[in-house]
Amino acid sequence: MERYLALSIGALFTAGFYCLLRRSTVRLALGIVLLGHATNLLLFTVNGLQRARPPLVPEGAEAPTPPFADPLPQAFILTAIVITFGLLALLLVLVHRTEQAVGTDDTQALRAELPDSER
Amino acid sequence: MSLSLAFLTSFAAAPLSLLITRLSRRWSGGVLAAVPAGLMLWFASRAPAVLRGELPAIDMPWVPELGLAFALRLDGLSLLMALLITGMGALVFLYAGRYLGQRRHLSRFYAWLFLFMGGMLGIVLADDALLLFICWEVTTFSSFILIGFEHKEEEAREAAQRALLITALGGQALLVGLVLLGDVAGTLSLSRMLEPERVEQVRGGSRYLPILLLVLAGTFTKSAQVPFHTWLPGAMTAPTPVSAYLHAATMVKAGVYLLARLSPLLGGTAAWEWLLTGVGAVTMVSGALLALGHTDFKRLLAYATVSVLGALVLLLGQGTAHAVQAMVVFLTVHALYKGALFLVAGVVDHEAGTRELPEVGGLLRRLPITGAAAGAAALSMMGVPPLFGFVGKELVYEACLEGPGGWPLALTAALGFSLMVAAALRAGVRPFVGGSFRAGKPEAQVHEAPSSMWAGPALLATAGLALGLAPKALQPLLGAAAAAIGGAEAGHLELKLWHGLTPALGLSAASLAAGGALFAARAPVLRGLQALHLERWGPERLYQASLEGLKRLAHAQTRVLQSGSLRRYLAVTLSTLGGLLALTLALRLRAPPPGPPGEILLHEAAVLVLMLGAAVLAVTTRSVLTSLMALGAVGLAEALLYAFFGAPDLAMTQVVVQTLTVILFALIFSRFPVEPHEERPRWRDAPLALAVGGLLSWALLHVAAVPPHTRIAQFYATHSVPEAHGLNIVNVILVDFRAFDTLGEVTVLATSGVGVYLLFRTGARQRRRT
Repeated sequence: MERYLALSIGALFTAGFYCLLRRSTVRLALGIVLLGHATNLLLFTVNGLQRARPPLVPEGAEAPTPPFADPLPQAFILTAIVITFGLLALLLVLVHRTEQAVGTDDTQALRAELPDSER
Repeated sequence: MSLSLAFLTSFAAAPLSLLITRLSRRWSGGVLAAVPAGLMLWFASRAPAVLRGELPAIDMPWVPELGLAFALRLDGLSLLMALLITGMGALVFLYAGRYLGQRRHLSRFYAWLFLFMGGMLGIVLADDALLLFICWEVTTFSSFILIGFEHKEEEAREAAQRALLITALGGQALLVGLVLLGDVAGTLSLSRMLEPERVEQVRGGSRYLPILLLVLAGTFTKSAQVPFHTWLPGAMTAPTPVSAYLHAATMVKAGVYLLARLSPLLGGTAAWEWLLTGVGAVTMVSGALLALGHTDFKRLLAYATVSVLGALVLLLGQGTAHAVQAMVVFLTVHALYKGALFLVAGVVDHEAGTRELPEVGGLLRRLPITGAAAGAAALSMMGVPPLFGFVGKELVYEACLEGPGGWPLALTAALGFSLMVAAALRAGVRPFVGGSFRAGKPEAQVHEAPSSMWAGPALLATAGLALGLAPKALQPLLGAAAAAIGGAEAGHLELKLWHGLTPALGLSAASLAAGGALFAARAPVLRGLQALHLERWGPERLYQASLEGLKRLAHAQTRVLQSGSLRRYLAVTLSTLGGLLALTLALRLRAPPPGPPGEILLHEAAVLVLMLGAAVLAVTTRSVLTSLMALGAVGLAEALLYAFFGAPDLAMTQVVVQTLTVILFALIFSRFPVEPHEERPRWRDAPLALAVGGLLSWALLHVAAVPPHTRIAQFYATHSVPEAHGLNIVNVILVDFRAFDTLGEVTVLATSGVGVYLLFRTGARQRRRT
């Protein structure tokens, strides 16, 4: 399963990178979301996958009964999902405000808005 | 203990100057001069102990891991330098109070001057090579600030930049040299380096030559030796008290001081003798020649300083006991007369309104005290008996004649001195007695400077005369300083005015006569020198060319790297990532490891196909709405994968967040006019994305072949209940074991929330206004 997932993650990264390289800021935001998915799945698979129980301790026991899934990447991903969302919210509002102020969502055109000295 | 107190006092006085200046601008100079004057008295009170050989010292660990110690030591050489630094400091503070009284940022000026004084005292007191280097850099930096004090003037900024570039680069070389030296000698303590077996290790070692060259690079740049001298004349854009203090009496001598300090360790070899004597002689003659060709009072003095620094380095190169004695005496002589002449230049500038020498003349009637001081200082500079300068010059000639350099070196020195005599006559005598006054303002309006301004030059000039008549007064101190460099033999110093009819006296007389003749015939000589534009040759050209080259390089690479195109930045970032991955994979691993592809269940395969299909759709469609739907599908597929592999928490969070993401996108982009851009054809972006994505897959395939690591999972599983009393291990990790991570996450989220709110609010406000 890890091998199939490895190929799928590569495909998601490809899609994300491709979106980043396009000119539209909408595509840019899409690309960031796709990169977030790809990275989370990467964290998920990198230490092996198990079709196992969730890492929960049964009531009254001291430790979970094996086999159980690795809890550490799950904790990381939980944090990552939330942070990606925070980042995305800021990015989207920024794109929106930029579009209002400048009237374009084209990153190449935004470059033309810089004063000459900073170009 | 009191030694470290003396060292730290000037640093403490820096903030004090801000307060004093606020209380009274008029008296600030006089009040603040009490600090260096007090320090000078303290150092003077240490003199009897030092002369007896009881050297005050402290040695405290500072950063032991780096071998850095707070070690200070006061020997004869340090004492002489400390007295010069604090004595000149007192006069300069007194002088600056009036000279800069009306100027803005006076308090800042004082503060930097105090910082410099602390750094300079640190250089001469430090017994630890790294502490010395730190203080060295303090003086470099404060010199940079003080040269650029009139920072609104282009010329001052350029000069400050040049001084910083040259001296700071030299400082870097010095640091490497000192660290190497410490490594070879096995200690960073300057006094312990001189133990015989360590000296043997350094001189006999294979790293002697690199150490020597690096230390010389540092000291030669600081002491303005040819070809690094070009920064010193430029430094004359600094206010005159700074020129007198930093760029004549003290800071430029830091390089000479360090050479003297290290000469028992590094000196005495053929490389040392040739390099120092050669560079010193060239510097001495060319400095004096350049001095003669200048008409600006301060620039002339600056080039004359370059010449003297060359003479001091030359003497250290000779390295005999007599040469060391001559070096110490001549250093003191120079500090006295050059300090006086610089302060005189400031008075003339201040009162007559010009620094151009040909424009002033006959000033003695208007500035009697200043004029007399200038005359006495100039006579000392020329080496006319019975001034102290004569005593110093005699010793220099004797040392040259007796040393390995012999007559050729003595004649070179005589040439330098002859030129210097003519320069001294032009700077210290002619403006006051001969010629006519042609400056901008009427001669009748020129008045003698206030006493706080003539006190300094008068005192220094009187000292030059008094020490010439009674040189024995300084004999013990100068002897102790020479002994610190050249050992007991150099300590037997006998100073006297009359040495009898010796070859040195002949050379002295000859150089005076030649200098006088040169001065009498100065008009054609001056024209010739000015036509040559000596100062624009050689090192000056090199400096300008390398600075221009550096700027061009910066421009070119900025144009390439900082293009302002987001796409180019991303392409560079992605190519770097891909390149590094490809390199690692090519070097360390070959093809993906063989093995069974692993089992995949039907429903898992279906979810993967759904996810990839949705991703392709999201990327390729032109409709924003379709993209959003496809994006939602990718997120849900991901949530299902989490659910299949034992992560229900992730699955739930993913569903919620993905839903919010799609709603947010829809809210923002529902009113967004999506115009089709003139996009680059897809085939230009796709290969790069595919290549990097493919490389990541390849790397992940290798990772999948590594057996999973279970120790951390086991730790959390077994400790979750006993230590944190939680049944959901993922939760326990988040809020207990790694709670700080979660705090960081919450902070990020809150910050982003504030950002979103502010952006929306300003947007709404602007809309209302339009």
